[in-house]
Amino acid sequence: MKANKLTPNFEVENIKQTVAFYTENLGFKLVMAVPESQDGIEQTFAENKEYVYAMMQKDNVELMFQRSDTFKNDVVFSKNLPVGATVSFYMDIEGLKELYETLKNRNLQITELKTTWYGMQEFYVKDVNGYILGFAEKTE
Amino acid sequence: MVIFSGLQKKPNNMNIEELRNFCLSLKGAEESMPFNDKKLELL
Repeated sequence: MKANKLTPNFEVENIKQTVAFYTENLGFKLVMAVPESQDGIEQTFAENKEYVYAMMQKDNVELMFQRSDTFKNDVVFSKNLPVGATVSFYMDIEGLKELYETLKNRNLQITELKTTWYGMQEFYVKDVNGYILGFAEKTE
Repeated sequence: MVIFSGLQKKPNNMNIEELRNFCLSLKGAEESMPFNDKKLELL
């Protein structure tokens, strides 16, 4: 086997709200979205439509979001499980302090900024769906 | 700046990676904003 790529696919209740969170707080861009009709892709959201899937990107990181109803159809192991996961999505970034200063003044669940024994400065924040995002940068 | 809106029919049964590459290849895709109405109520 050759492993090519790992992209988290988050089960979410609302695609537009999730994309708004990642756009406004973390600067991700929408790559593509799939409307409820599931007959094509779009790169912007229409006001009168709902969506079942979105892919977002920032630099080297890509994330996917899938609405709960279609997610549970595709990922059968998730049936009867609540949305959420005991995992942190740990991003190695540049500009950690600036990001922390920006996010800590918003109405978010966010930890303190810590320097770890393994040489990273990091913090954690919950996204709009409760998923735990970790941000880290090598200490100087 | 909105550079692309409306439905892009899934061309030639592309898989998800091909659709991704297609979207990223569109000129100006990196500058696109997801909300073309700017009226979405943010969180």
